[in-house]
Parts: sequence; structure tokens; C-alpha cells
Amino acid sequence: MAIRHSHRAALAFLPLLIVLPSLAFAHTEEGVVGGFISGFLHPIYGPDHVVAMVAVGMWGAFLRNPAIWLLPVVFPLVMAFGGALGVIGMPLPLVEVGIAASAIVLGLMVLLAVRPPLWVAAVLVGAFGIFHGHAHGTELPDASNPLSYAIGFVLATGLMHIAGIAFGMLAGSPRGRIAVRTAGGLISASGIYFLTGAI
Amino acid sequence: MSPMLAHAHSPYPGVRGFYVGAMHPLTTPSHVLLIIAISILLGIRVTEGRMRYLAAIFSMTAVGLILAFVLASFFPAALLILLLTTVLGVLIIIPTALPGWAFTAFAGASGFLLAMESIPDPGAFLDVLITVFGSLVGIHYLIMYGSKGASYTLERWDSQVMQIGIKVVGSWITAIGLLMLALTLANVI
Repeated sequence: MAIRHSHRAALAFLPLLIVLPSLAFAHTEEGVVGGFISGFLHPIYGPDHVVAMVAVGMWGAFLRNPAIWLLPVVFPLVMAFGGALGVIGMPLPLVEVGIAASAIVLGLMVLLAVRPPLWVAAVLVGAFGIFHGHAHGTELPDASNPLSYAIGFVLATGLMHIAGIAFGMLAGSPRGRIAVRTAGGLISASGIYFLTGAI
Repeated sequence: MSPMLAHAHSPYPGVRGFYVGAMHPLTTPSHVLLIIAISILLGIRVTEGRMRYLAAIFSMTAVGLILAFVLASFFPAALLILLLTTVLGVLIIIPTALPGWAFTAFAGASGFLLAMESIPDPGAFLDVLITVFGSLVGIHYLIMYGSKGASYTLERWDSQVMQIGIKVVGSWITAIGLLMLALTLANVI
């Protein structure tokens, strides 16, 4: 009951948020805050990034321990490597195709409930992480504050993994399993759409 | 409905310089990242002999603040901070059994490198001294409370989810450290 009351109290105060004038970000933020916000929003505004990040978390949760933590750990590390390649200007061919392919393949893994050896899953996720990282990395030097931009996009990526893990953990129940596998199919289908745009 | 905070004037002369020094580590993203990394590592790995690494942080921060006036212009503190942060991030992910002196060394190195990048602008001797003292206190307390907070969090909510969360945060720290290193080496920042 106490929890319900606290929720009601929170909801009652929610409308007050609209009178907070300082929350209106009409202008582009600059400096550390601006870099962080643009970095944080960069992966979120890219649906091709979003579906792949979520798929990594979903597949990890689907494969259970230790994949549930290993895949979301491997991805940002390899993504940072790809980002570093982008920062120093090293070209990587077919980046957009690789990003679209990540959504197709990872979505299929969830849809078909594929359970490869752990190292295969880690290598697969890591390989796709290079493409995602390179795409972010090429835009890093132009950010208003590259350091906070890097922090922002790594955090956003990690939070999308967590969202995927949370959804993927529904696979523990029969209905949840259907929902998760269906979501995997949708991610794979969206990947095909992104691929047609990238080619 | 939500007015800006009222920033009253400083009641004591010189206190502002102390605050500037104490808060300086929180104004630079790479410093914040190093403080988070060393705090988590010490908090989750070191269970005894905490006074040793706290002493190392304090003494090496003091040494760094003194040496910074001579060496800061050519000592690559910014690069070493990123390197150390990346290494600490990896150590958070991989639970390696390191000897106690290694943690003391990491703690001391963190304090030293943060201090090397914390010297104030030139000014009156007393003002500079107060600001430097603020930096010494700030660096020491931020790491001390950060590590204690990490230790308490792990003890209070020790679970598989928490262990996973720590590894994930470690990977984020390493990833950000790697990207910062790339940016620095590419002379972007």
C-alpha cells in the first residue's frame, strides 16, 4: 500500500514538471553538457543502432549466464576499438551495411533461439560492434566536446543493452519467450529495411 | 515555481579558492572517470588494509601537487590518466587476484596524476596555497567516499545482478577510456 501511495503522490506532482522553465532546451547546448547530450542522443536517434543494441541485450538474456553479462561487456569494448579507428580516420568499408547486417543477424539469433558456443556469440557481437563504433567515431572529432560525447554515446549504448536484457528476461516464461522471439523477428525485418537503404 | 538557486557570497575570505580546488576534479570528464574507476576498483577488491591506500592517495596527491609546479608543462599527465583509467576499467571487468601493494600503487598513481593536472592559475601565494590545499582534500575525499560507497553498495546489495552491473560499468569505463585515448593520440583534444 505504501508503494501505491508513493506512486500516487509522484503522479500528483508530475504535472508540475511542465512549469519548470529551465527544462526547455530550445537552443543547442555547447561545451561539456552539449557534447554529452549529443553523444547520448546519437545512438538513440539512429533506429539501426537502437535495434542492434537492444538485440545484443535480448540475445544475452536469452542465452543466460554468462552471456547475459559477457555480450554487453564485449560490445562496448569492441565498439570503442571501432570508434578509435573512426577517430584516427582509418576507413572501414561498408559500415552502414555492417550495421544493418547486425540487426538482421542478431534479430535472427533471437528469433531462431540460436545457442552457439559462448565464444562464437562474443565474436559475432564484437564483430558488429566495430561497425557501430566506427560510425560513432567518425563523428566524434566534430562534436562540441569529444570527451563528453564519448561518455554520452557509451552510456546510451549500455542503457539500450540493459533495456534489451530486461525485455529478454521475459523469455523465462512461455508467453514471454514468444514475445522475445517475435521481437527478434521484427528486429531482423527492420534490419532488412535498413539494408535496402544502405545499398 | 522553480527559481534559480541563490548563490550567497562567501562568508570567509579565501574559502572560494578552497572550493575551486576541491571541486576541480569534478570539472574535467577524464578526471571524473578516473575517480569513478579507482573508487570502484578499491571498493570492490580491497577488503582490508584500506588505511594503506588512503595514505597512498593522500601522500602521492601531495607529492603531485608540489611537483606539478615544476613538471606540469612537460609531464604527460592527461595521457597517463586515460591509460590508467583504461587499465582500471579492465581490472574491474576481470576479477584478477592482485597483491595488496598493486592496489596501493594504483591508488597512489591516481592521486599523483590527478594532482599533476590540478595546479591553479598563478596568483598571490596564499591564494594558490589555499587552492592547492583544496585540491588535496578534494581528490582524497572524492576517492575515499567513492570507494566506500562502492564497497557499501556491494555489501548491501550483493547479488548476481550487482556483480553483472559492476562488470558492465567496468566495460563502459574501459570503452570511454579507449575512445579518449584515441582522441588524444589523434590530437583532436
